[in-house]
Amino acid sequence: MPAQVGLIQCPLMSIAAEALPAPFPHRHLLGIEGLSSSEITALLDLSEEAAKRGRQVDKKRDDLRGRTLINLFFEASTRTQSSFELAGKRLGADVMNMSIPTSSIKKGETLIDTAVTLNAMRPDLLVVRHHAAGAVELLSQKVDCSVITRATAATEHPTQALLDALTIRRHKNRIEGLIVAICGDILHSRVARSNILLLNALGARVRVVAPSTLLGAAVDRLGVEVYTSMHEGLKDADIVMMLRLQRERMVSSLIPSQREYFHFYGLDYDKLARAKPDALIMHPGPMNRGVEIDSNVADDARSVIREQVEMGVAVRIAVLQALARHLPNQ
Amino acid sequence: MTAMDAQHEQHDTDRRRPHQPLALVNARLVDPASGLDAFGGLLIENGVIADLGMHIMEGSVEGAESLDCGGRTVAPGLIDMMVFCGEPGHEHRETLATASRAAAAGGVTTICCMPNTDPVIDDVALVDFILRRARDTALVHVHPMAAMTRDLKGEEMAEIGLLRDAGAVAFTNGKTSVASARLMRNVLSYANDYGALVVHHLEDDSLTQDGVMNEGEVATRLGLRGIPTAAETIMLERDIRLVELTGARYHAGQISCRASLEVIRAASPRPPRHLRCLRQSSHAE
Repeated sequence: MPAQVGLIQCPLMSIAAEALPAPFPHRHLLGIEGLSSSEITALLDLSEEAAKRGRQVDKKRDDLRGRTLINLFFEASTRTQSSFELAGKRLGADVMNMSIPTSSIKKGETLIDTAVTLNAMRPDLLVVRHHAAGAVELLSQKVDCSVITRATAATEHPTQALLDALTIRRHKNRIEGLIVAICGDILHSRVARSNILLLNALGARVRVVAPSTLLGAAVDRLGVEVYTSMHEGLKDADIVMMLRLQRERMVSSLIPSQREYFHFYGLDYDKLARAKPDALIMHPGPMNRGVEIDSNVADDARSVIREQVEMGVAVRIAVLQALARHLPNQ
Repeated sequence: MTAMDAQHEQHDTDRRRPHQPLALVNARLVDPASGLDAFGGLLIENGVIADLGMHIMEGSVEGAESLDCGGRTVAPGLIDMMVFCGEPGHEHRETLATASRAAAAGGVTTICCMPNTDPVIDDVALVDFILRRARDTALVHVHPMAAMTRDLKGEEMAEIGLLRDAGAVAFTNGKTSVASARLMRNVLSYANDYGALVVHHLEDDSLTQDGVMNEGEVATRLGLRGIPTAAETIMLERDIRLVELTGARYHAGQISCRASLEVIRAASPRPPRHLRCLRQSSHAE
């Protein structure tokens, strides 16, 4: 979405104590698409600082003091919402969670009216999760504040991709040249799409592994190697990233059963043995043990699933800090 | 009656030494693969064909027992791709044992049995059951086909990967077609990951309804409800498009009208990799 690039309407400010290693010229964060590799790296460096602070007793800063952050969700979500809420609070913002359930939409309000109503409340930052592709982009054009996509169904989940990259970088000290196998329900995963964009931008070799019915059409055009066999797809992988099987989004019979799925696509020690011995095991959560990942594998020493959650808060703090620089100061 | 029957008749009283060569003499030798169709004899040593031709005749091979075929045909064992066997569920009608004897009597040495049994072969345990029953009771090779949708209902995909690993050689919906194009696409796409063959019956149920014969003058004169050829060609056209989309291995279960052959010919310039068809003479125009 190049349209979001350079939408700076206000003078840049220097409220953050330390300077970003590279300028972050975006007013919104709607996806990984449109971000340059240096901008991504700058966000990761900033996240690293936040991760350090997150382990201190005093985790608080005042970058966002006096600012209002609205956590807006059109679709139920708990994890990313709590993560953003925590991030906002650690930066001193007033955080409000707002649910716009489908019933309100049934009352007849359009998305644009919702945006105008919200805008009148004068928030500074809006974190939005909406199920429809393009909805958050539309919203971002109708409000004066900064907008962050929390997750748009089947398109992007930028902060997840950033936190995954941060977790990888902390363990492997690099992204470039790593073989990353993203496995499972690619079709319904916004995580996969954002990760493909980000990891490619930073020079990783990205593979996707899934049954054909869960791959999505022409996925090979996204710059990934495509496998339908875990044994082939995991060969020599540095990172094994499992995705949740999103049965609730499946409108038709795409796989026969959970037991068959686990047999052929669930990450167990047998399949994991194909990856490098020090491969990292990742999962964006919530995970279904026994469906896409074996319970023991999920708790293996190589599993960084819990660390991903910790890095999630750090990455969201960094994103809020970076965007806060473009907020009007008067 | 083929030479094989003669061999089977002798089977019960076969007291030959285990490795004594056997010469089948005075036979019509047919081998479609090499285009052979000639009279002569065939020598079997240690269970494999050692020699064949005019020179193999009564007493020509020392130490061999010879069997006079009386001019009957000796050919590679035939394979019946579509056997509706009663086991399990309808053993009063037919079992794997009786079906295999009938097959052997006709020169058929391999049968692929269809999954529309009771219960339907849509579970690993049932594939295993067929293989074990065949091992214990059948005279010929038996390869089970498994259901491509659960209970053949055309609603949910069956466990194609596990069934294939258990020994199912192909996937089919029995005597019914999968009405949902979306499900058919998913099945073809998924089966392709496992290199599994899909064998599909071609009949648009909404057009067939209660029809019992070809639609046309004869049906009208007889007062019987007819089935238009479109019931078959619509399904075939649809499947060909889906095979093109998914690249799956596909076998049109039966073709019963000229229009279907034209559909397949028309698809030939852009041939799906594995499109095959079987003509069913009982339905022919």
